[in-house]
Parts: sequence; structure tokens; C-alpha cells
Amino acid sequence: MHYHEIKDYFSEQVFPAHPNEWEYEDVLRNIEKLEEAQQFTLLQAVPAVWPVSQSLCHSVLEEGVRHAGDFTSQDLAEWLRQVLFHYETGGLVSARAFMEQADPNSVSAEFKETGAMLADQLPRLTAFAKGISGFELRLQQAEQIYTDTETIYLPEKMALFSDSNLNLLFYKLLITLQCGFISLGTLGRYLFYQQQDHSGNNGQQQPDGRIFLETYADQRLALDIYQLVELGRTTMFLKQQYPGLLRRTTPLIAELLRTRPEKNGEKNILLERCLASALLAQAPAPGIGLFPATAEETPGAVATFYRLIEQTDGDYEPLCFLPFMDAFNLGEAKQVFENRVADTRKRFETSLGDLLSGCKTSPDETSAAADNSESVDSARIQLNGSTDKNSSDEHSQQLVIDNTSIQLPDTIRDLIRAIQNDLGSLPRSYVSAAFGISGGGRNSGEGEQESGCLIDDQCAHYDEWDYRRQGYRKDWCSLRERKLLGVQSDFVPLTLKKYRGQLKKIKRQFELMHTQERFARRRRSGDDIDLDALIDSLGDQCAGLPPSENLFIQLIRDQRSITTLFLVDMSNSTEGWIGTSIKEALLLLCEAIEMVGDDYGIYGFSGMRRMRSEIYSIKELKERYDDQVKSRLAAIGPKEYTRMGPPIRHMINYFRNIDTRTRLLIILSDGKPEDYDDYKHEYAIEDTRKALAEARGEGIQPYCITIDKEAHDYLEHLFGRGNYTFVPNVELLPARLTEVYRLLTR
Amino acid sequence: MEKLYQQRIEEHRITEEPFYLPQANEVEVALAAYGNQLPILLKGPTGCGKTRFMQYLAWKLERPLITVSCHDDLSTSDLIGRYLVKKNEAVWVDGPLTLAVRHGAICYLDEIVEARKDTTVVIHPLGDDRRQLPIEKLGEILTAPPTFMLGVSYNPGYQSVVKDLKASTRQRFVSLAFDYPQTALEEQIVQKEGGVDSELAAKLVKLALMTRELKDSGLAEGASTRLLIQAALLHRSGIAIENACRAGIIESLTDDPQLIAAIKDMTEALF
Repeated sequence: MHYHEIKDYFSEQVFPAHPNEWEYEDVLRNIEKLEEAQQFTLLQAVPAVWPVSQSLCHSVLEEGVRHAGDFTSQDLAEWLRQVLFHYETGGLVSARAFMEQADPNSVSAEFKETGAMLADQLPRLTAFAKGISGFELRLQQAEQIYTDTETIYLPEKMALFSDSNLNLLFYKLLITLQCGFISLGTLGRYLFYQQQDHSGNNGQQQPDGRIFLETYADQRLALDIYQLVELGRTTMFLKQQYPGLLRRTTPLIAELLRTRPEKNGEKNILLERCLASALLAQAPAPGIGLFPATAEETPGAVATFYRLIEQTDGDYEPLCFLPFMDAFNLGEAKQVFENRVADTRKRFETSLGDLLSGCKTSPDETSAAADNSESVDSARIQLNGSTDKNSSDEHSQQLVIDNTSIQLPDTIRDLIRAIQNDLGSLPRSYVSAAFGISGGGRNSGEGEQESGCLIDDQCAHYDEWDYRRQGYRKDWCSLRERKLLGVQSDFVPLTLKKYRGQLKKIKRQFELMHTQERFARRRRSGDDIDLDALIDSLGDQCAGLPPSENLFIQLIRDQRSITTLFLVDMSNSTEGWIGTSIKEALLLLCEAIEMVGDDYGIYGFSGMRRMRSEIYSIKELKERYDDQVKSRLAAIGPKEYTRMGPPIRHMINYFRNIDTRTRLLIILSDGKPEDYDDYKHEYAIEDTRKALAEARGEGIQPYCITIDKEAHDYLEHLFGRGNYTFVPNVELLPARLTEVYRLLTR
Repeated sequence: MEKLYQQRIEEHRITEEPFYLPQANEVEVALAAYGNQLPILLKGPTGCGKTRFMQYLAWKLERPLITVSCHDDLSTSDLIGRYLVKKNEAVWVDGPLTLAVRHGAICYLDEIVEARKDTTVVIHPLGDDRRQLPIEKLGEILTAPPTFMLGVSYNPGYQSVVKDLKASTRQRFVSLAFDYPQTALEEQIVQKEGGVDSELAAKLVKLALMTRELKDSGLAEGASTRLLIQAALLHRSGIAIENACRAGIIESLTDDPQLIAAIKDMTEALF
């Protein structure tokens, strides 16, 4: 192709945008020099990159020319995927750096046959990690393999072995090992010094903030030994739990061990020998003793081992455990541990505080500090028996004040379990702090200065549920309806293009729902005779009964009588990827529902404080799905906070005028309800829950789709079992949303 | 000739004790409901033992058990009965529900939400204190003897809202919630029913627990106890355990290739 043809082709690809010609002239001139097949291959990248970033597109074309000779079109696709990954995780700088030093091996066909890419296997491995660990773990690409107990970091690609299945198997082993570290508490509380709880909680020990390895003279050696000991403990555990995995991976480990460089010095040789036995889940070398069985025994084992190494001759060099796997990242694990401890503490204190305020009957008890301290002295949380989640003994945990026991709700018992898991026991200070909260130390927010909303005719007022008083705050919130102004952008065509394959499938599925035909038996008229009915009728006739006249089978089309309102969270927490995916999902959904012809409306909500809740109308119920609506869909963007109660109640109001048989309220949100004022935590959850209950009371089916990194325990409490779905991976949202709608209304 | 049409009640009697391990107090509650002539509603995920529980209950009460699997073409005459013509003569044939009422048996309507709502209203007068079954065509009102019991089941999991149970139906029942049995219990069940050793049973249950973790990640429901037993039986008949899990559990759970791969990985890790 000549320059002009290339230019025209390029403009076609980026339409409707019109980039200045001079900005791309140099790049396109370079492309002219390539062979025609290469030109096409490279220009095919434009539609994928252009919508992401125009600067990136420029760089991709520039670098693409440089690499053109090395790439087949398959390689290019792989290369592009990696470029985009780098752009999305590290920005333009990272993407450019990658392009400059792109490892030809990583995109070569040879690698594709034998290597495993994390990105390709991510959904499978994420599901695997969840099954193995029993909780939501993120997998993320990084240079090194480690975990901070919430995310497992893994290398982008694995090409250690000659077969892609073996490389994938090695990924699985690495994930299982990290899951093992997490569930065995390697990176949990035993990492820290245990100190006596000063508030005297039955002489229980609690971790203080210092990692116990800090006392060793050679900290790196101590860390290596700690990891070695824990590795051994973990593989022993895995051998028991997942014998199949270990059996399959043992040859891989043996192979890796065989190719390790020879070590000099007795210290290193000893360490190396122990590493081999730890990896192979065998008993360690003589003289070291066994790997510990529990986390409590680890510090002792580390001390013994450390002394042994110290007494051995030779120099020590830091151990490399496995390819990509050096030492633990204790810093990050500690950070996550501390954040979690602080977060659980806060949640526990608030929940218990709220419970206590609810329990107090006489007003005298609530205020005076002296009373509080007295109550603290006489109050204790009695923990009997098992704290096991599956334990059927529900009476094992009680709060005892002045010898009166109060049954703890599930949420608090779960929190206690989490605290015990992290700290070993429930510190007394937590309980005293909760008493402080219940004594009125917390700002209730009632007398707050409100700003913003003027109360006028357009405002609707809604009650809000205050679970502490078990009653409504009358006309507490004001909600104003606003029209979302549409924007002109290429969002709609791009999204439709991006999902065109999926959309075709979804549309077909929805079409089927629309034209759902069934044979109705026993009809007065119809397409065929209903033999069953006829025989019945003959029988009746013989018996002297008036025979039925409904003797036909009719092919009828089921009339769907469904109205759905979608309520979309437009709080600022949805900024970024989540926001875009929500928009895309809604667009696909509109396209799909149009095929069925159900009535539906879409509303966004946000706001700040109780006097300024806002509802943005994106598509009114009776509005046609046209360009106006599409431009408003494109305009959905993050606003302020998530006060969920008022918008739900507003939707209930809408539904009051609708008399279809099935009325669905689908809420799309990215997490907890929360506002700027005291609309948080339990208060917010309870109000939202109440609003949803009100909806059910009106015959509306609420259903929530939550997009979050991990499923929270409160979701079931909030929405009710089976009334929500949780989408951990936002990219799945477009597919999930349409699927949920289809399943709910089929 | 007549017996060709009319089912015999004796065929529904359960003579051997069905294997059932109680999860909680469901047996006592159901017996108390029976004693007070109250109908029961069993709810829970698929394959967790609802039908087996009914069999066990029927055996314990020494009553015949008549099971009807509901579907959306089920008509009222399918439940109550109809006239059939025999040699120019009309012969009344009782439907399963009438049969159960007449003989004071237990009638169990499995997956009741699958039946159309206008069909299920016939159980309303039976379900409350009237305990009557009007048979329009015979001009007869049957009153259920004290030994008659009505049981229905449904799975509240991933249900279409269009197919929910009507409140007027639901509120006639004593409800028993079922879930997958606790780990130790489930192991025992798999061991006994699947005829495998305790180690293998424990591993199968572990696999089930792992799949149940995936409930929010794309699986509509995790592996049921029934699937575990199925895999165990396949294995006992000589199928290698991984293939038994694949055919007996994984492929029955999902069609999603990524999830199939992930569960296969878990199986491989376990066995």
C-alpha cells in the first residue's frame, strides 16, 4: 500500500475521530516501507489500541514497525495484549518501556507452544485458588512470587518446563503453596512477638507489632530459615491434603533441584539440602529435627536451626527458593495483617457498641462515664465451646453484663472469630472501647449542619430506618430527581463493536425468551386435538357428567408481564474500570431487553448527606431506547456517595403506579452503602436492608449485583440469600448482568 | 383389567429402612407435624437429601409414599383422577393425590414450583385445617384421615422470580430447611451410599466443599451430595477416580470451560 492508501485505511480504523494528519504522518510513512502483509498486520492493531489511548497507539505503530520483521500476526496479537496489559497496570511509561525491551522469546511461537501465560489462565487459576483456599484471593502479575495474604503475586509467564501443561501445573503448585502459607498462618499472628495481653485477658498472649525475626543478628539468614521451616511445614501439610498435586509436581521439583547451581561452603550445602527436603515434603537432614507441625512451634524450630547454621563453617549466601521465589515479603504481609486487624477492630467495636446501646433500657445508664467503667468491669464476653463456623452450638458465645447474658448476633460472632484467628483471643480493650461507643461517645450526626439541598417542591422526602431505635426517622432524607445530560462520544459504537460477538449470542438468547411458545392444553379451540382431554371428556360423558368442551391444544405465545427498574450506583468509588464496565453492561442489557420488549427504566443514584440524595434518570420507563438514551448511558459517571435507602424508596414509589405481574428492581453497586455523614457500617446496612424489605412488602423483587474484590459476609444479610450475585471480576459484568436478567425473568 | 388403570397403594409402601442420617432435628419436627396433621415443605439445594428424607419419614411412619414430580404440564386431573372408558363404561381412576388421601398415605409433590400455579391451588383445602379434597367430577369431598400427610419440596436457590412459590401456598406448611450435611456427616453418607472407604469419601467431600466455594464465581450451585455418591459409585465400578469425578461431578455442574478446568485442577490436586 502506498502512503495515501495507508492513510485512508488508518482514518477508517479510527473513525469517527479525526486525528491531525501531521501527528501520524511520520509513523504512516514508516509503515509504507513494510511489506504489504506486514502493513495490514500492524494496522489491524489500531482499532484495539486507539480507544484505549491515542498516544499509546502512536507508540505501538512506531515500535510495531521496528518489530515488524519478527512478528507473525499471531505474535502481534500476543505482543499487543502484553502492551495493553502494561499500559493498564503501569501507564504509558510502563508500556513504552515494555515495547522497547520486548523479549522476543515471550512472543515467539515457540513460547506459545510450551510456555504458560498467567493472563491466559487467570480465570481458571483464580477459581482454583478460591477452591483451594476457601476464600477470595486475587492473582496478580509481578516479578516475584509471594503473597500478602490477600493477593498472590505470580510471574507473567512460565516457561521453565518443556511442556505448557507442566508450566501450568507449576503455576498451580505455586498457588497452592501460597494458599498453604496463608491458611497455615505463616504470614499471620505467629510472625510477631507474642506478648501478654496487659488488660489481663485470662493470661492470653497477643501478637505485638514486631516481627520475631528482628532479634536475630543475621536477619536475612533468619528469614531464609523461617521460610525454609515454613515451606517444609506447608509441603508436609499439602502432601496430606493434596496428594495428587504433590505426586504430579514432585518430578518438576526434582528437575528444578537437579539444575540448581552447586553450592560452596558447608552452611550453604546444609541449607540447600534442607531446601530439597522441604520442597519434596521429606523429613529434613539428620540433626535438624522435623519440620514443625504447627505455627506455634515454628519460632522454636527457627531458633534451633539458626544455631545449627551458626555453628556450621563457611560463608552464607542468601537462598533462592525457587525460580522467581526469593524470600517472603513480610513487610506487605504485615501491612495487610495490621490493616485487617484494625478494620476488624473498628467493625467489632462499632457493632458491639451499637448492640449495647440497643440493650440499655434506662436512660441513666447511657451517659455517665463512671457507669461505663463499672459496666466494663462487670461485662465480659463469654466464649464457650467451639467458635467453628459450622458449629451448631449457637449459645457458645454470649455477652454477659452484670450476670445477664445477651445473645450475640451472627455478625459479631463472625467478627470475634476473625479476631481470634488473627490475635488468638479477643482483647479486653476492644470490649471496653465498645462500651465507650455505646455511652454516646460517637457523633450521632443528628444536629449536623446540612448544606446543599433547598427544600422545595421537587424534593421527595423519605423516612430512614434507624436500627438503634428500631424505628424510622421521619422525612429524614430529601431526594431530588435530575436528568442526566447526554454526552456525544464514541462510547456506544465502540462498545457495540467490542462486544459484537457476545452481543449476537445474547440477542439470540433474548429473542428466544420473547418468542417463547408453548402448547396449552385443554383449550376451547386450537391447532390440534388434545387426546388426553378428549379421553377425559369421553369418560365423563360415559359417567353421565357434562363433558368438557376444552378439547384442543393451542400453540400460544406467553405474554411477558415484567417491569424492571435498574438502579445504578454512581458513587465516586465506581470511578475507573468499574464505571466503564457498568456502562458497557447497561448498554448490552438495553440491546438485549429491546429484543424481548419488557418495560424497563434505568436510574443512577448518588448524593451527599441526607438532604441531598439524587436520582439521575437515564432511561424513563416508557421512554424509547434511542440516541438520547444512549448518550445518557455514555454520560454515566462517578458522582458522590452511596446512600442507598432513599433511591430504593423512590423506586418503590415508581412501582406503585405499575401493575405488571412481575416487578423487578435490580441494583448495581460496587460495595457497601455509605454516605459522608454517619450513614455507614451497620446503620447504612440496616437502613438499606429495611428499604429492600419495604420493596418486597410492595410485591417488588429486589436483586442486587455487587461488583467488589471480595464477597463480604454482610451481603447475604443485606440482600437475603439468593437475592444477590457477586461479581469479583469487573470484566465479567457485561456478560453476568444480561445472564442474571435472563435467568430472573425466564 | 382394572388393575391396569388403578395403581395399588401397596406398591408405594417402603419396606426396607432407607439410609438417612439426620442433619439436625428435622425428623422430630416432621414427626411432630405429622402428629398434628400439618403438611410439610422441604426446601434446600438440589441433591441434599430432601427426597430421601421423605422416604425415611414414610418408612418410619409406616405409611405408603406417593411421589409426584411436578412439571408445567401437570393438570389438576393428573393429581386428582379422571374417568376412563372401558367397554363403553366409564371407570373412575384415582390420581396420586386422591389415592394418598383415600388410604391415608403420604403424598410428596417434588419441585412444586415447576407446576403451574393454578394446578397447585388444589392442595389448598388439603393443606389447612379442613384437610379436604373436593373431587368435582365425583361430586365427592374426601376428608383426609389423620394418617394422611402432604409434603412438598422446592429449591430456593437460583430461581426465576417468575417461578416463586405463592405466599398462599407457602403459608400452609411447616417448613424444614435443608442444606448440604456437615462435613463429617456428609463423609459418612458418601461412604455408606457410594460404598467407598472413608479416605476417598473425605476427599470427595473436600472436592464438593471446594466447588461450593465457587458458587459466587459462576457456578449456580456447588456439587451436591448426590453427585458425590454418583462419582463414588462410578469409581467402585472400576472407573479411575479422576474420570469418575469428571463424569460424575464436574461435567454435571457446568459447561463453562474455565470452571471445568479449574475444578479438574482441584480434583487432580486431591487425588
